[in-house]
Order: sequence, then structure tokens, then C-alpha cells
Amino acid sequence: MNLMMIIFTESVVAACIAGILCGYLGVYLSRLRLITLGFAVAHGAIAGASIAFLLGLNVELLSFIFGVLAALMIEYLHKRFDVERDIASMYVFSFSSAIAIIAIYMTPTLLLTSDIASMILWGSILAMTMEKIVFLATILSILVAYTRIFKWELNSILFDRKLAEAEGVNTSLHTVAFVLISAATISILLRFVGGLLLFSLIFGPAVAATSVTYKRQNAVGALIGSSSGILGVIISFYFDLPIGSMIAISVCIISVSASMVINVYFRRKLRSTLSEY
Amino acid sequence: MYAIEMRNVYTAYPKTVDVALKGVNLHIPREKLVLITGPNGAGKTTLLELILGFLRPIKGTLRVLGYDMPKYSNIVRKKCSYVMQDFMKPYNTPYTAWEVVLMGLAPYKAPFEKLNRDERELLDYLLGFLEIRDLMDKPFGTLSGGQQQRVMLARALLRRPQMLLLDEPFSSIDADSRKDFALLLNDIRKKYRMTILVVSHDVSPLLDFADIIVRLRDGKIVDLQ
Repeated sequence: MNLMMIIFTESVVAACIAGILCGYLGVYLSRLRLITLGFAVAHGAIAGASIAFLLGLNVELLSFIFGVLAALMIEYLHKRFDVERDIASMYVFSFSSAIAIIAIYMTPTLLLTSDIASMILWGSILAMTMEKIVFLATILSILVAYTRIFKWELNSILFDRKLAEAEGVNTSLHTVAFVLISAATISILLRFVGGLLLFSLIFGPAVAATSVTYKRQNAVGALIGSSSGILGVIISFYFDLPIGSMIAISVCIISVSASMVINVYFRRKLRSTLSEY
Repeated sequence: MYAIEMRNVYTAYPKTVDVALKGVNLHIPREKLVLITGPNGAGKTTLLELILGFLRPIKGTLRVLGYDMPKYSNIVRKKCSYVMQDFMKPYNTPYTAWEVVLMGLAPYKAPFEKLNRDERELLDYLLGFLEIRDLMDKPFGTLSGGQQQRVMLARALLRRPQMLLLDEPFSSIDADSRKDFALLLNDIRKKYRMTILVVSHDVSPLLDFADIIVRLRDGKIVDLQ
């Protein structure tokens, strides 16, 4: 197998796992109303990656740490000062974006034009290694196991967060768990999909899944995510276009198509039901 | 022993300067049916939120089921069941009535632990008692307000709470069924020997059964019978 084929195969496998992971995770984040928190975590991770890039440190590690710090800051503002999570997320998002831009501004021009910088911002098909694929698969396994083990507690929170709290479910613990998993996912995928468009892979499939079905939303989210990832890699590979953009466009096309197909399906079914009367 | 002991309790909602409850003194013995009533904004729901530890006393002391609040709110919450005022869910809620009932046991169950024999028997009894057996396979969001309320009550009772808190339980029930629901609550209280706190504008269905009636106005107890 030649080198191009190896890179292509690894990218397709990575995009498939990343799509399943992001779709599955995104449905939980969306239904737990942690969308803006996830957005802020993603931008915290970009700030971490930019600083790591400026200082020559490990990009994945620093982006993970900054992602977690962003989430902790939001939780602190929410718990200590009663600032709504969504509003606190927007503060942290603005702050993280500013830090990222300062770090990029301070980076020497020669470094800024290198492949590594464009990987962080736009993503690169070359960024995936077998090591990272294994890491992604591990995060996915942990997430699936976690959601199976705490199925009833999570269902209770998803059904009604306040009622779950009133019944003694530790909602904060599960929020923190999802934030950590999100931060780990984002930091690993940052170079592959790019910080600016990674968010679309997490929330695009989730929003589509929750709008097209009310059963098995996780599975549908994972399916839309993986198909978008694979399609994005194929287009990016054959037309030499940025992978992040191609995945984001694929997410939009597949999500909108899914919504349209389901809409048409139910309309036709309703029409045939009405004709029986 | 008291289910609730409140001594000169004041509380306020976060980010407000309005004191929602002012100098409340209330001692409720166990296994009583307590009706809390009063006009809008009197502090009825605030009182329930305080009992469950969602709000903190800014002055005074509060003990619930013998535990200092809000320090032991996690323990108290597991011993109580709460049926909220706005329990209604939209039609696309992705859970069946059966799943909603079982969710109530989430804080007590180890991962993958199934219902034990006692729980199965109690559940079977509750489904018959509340006349919701036929609804169990239906999506929760497609049930009527009254049906959803009965399902939520089954969820609350399956937890075998020491105290049941109901916020406006008559709001989704038509006038004819309110008396039946009041009878049902009275039966539950006797059968399970639990303390029941009912917050309601509409006092008439429960007047015959209530042991204690607390009337609130402007955050203060104005009448205690």
C-alpha cells in the first residue's frame, strides 16, 4: 500500500470514529443544554493550542487543560455568582478567543505560516496518527460505557434536571464528566478537523438527530456524524480542500437532507393514513 | 419527632433583594397531611424549595426529617419525593411512561441493578391503584395532563419516600376528579405512613383530610390550623 493510501485509510477510519464520538456526545450535550458550554470549551482548547504553539509546548495537552479550565471557569461563575451557564459560556468564549488571537498575533510570522498553525485553525488530513485513532476509540468506549452504566441517572437528568436534583441525583458530577469527555475529544480532534469548525461536527449531527427522531437519538447522531466525517475526508482528499470545511459542509448537507427526508416521509405517511378514513 | 422544624426562617431567591419568606416558624409532626395555601406570590412554592434545599435560609434554622438543611440536602432529597407544578412534557419527549416511573429509582440503584421483589410488587400495586397500567407503553408526552400527573405520582411513590411534596397537584385535573385525587392522597398517606405536603390554591378538595392547614401571605404565615 503506498503512503497516500495509508494516509487516506487512516483519515477515513479517524473521521468515522470521530463522527460517531462527536455525534453521540453532541446529542447528550445538546439535551443536557450544554451546547454553549461545549462551544466555550472548544474555544478554550483553541486558546490552549495557540499558546502551546507560541511556546513550543504539547498542543494536545495544553488544549485539553485550557478546555477543562474554560469549563471550570463557567461552572465557578454559575455556582458562585449565579451567572447563567449560557451567559458565563459567552464570557469565557470571548475571553478564550481573545487569548487565542493574542497568542497567534505574538507568534513569529515564519511559524504562523507553517502547516502546524493551519492544522490548528483549519484542520489537516495529515494530522491523524494511529496513536490518536486508538485514543479516540478509547474515549468513545469510555463514553458509551459511561452512558450505559449511568443510564437511569442520565435519563432522569435528561427528562427533567430540576426534578432529578430534587430526587437526589448528583447532576453536577455528570455535567463535569461530560465536560471532561468533551475537552478530551476536542483536544484530540483539534488538528484533524480544526478548532474553528470542530464545533459543527459535535453539534450538527446532534441537532439533526434530535429533530428527526425522538427514539435512539444517540445512534442517529453517531450515524450522521460518521457519514459526514467520511464524506468530508473523501472530498478533502480528492479535491485537495481543507478537511475541516469539508466535514462541516458534509454535516450541513447530511443533516438538512435527513431532516427533509424525515419530513417528507411523515407527510406521506400521514396522507396515506388520512386516505383510509 | 418532627418532619419539619423551621425556626424564624428567612429566605430569598438568588440575585434578588426581596425576602421571599419572612420569619417562618413551623413545626410539622411526621405522618401528617399538610395543606399549604395562599394567594399568588405568598411563598408556597418557595417553602417547598427551601425544604428540598434549593434555597438556603439566610436567617434562622431549618431541620427536615431530623437533618440540618441545606447541609444535608442530598440525604433529605433521597428520602423525599417531589411532584412539581410544571411537570408536563411536550409530545416528543423520548421516554415512555414506564421509563419515567423507573427513573425515580435512579439515585438508589447500582449500575445494571434491576428491580427487586419488593419494588416489583409495589410498582404492580401502584399501577393498579393509580389506574395507569394501560398507559405504561405509551410515550409520556402523548398522555393527558391528568395521566401525566398520575404517572409522576407513581414515580414519586415507588421511591417509598418519608415525605411527599406536591406542588399544585390539582392544576391538571378537572373539577370532578379533584375529590377522587384528594381521596387517593389520603389513602396513600394512611397506607404508606408518610408526611404529605400539598401546596394548592384550591383548598376545597383536601379540607376534609388535611391535619394541618398553613395559610401564607406575603412570605409570612398568617394562619395555622
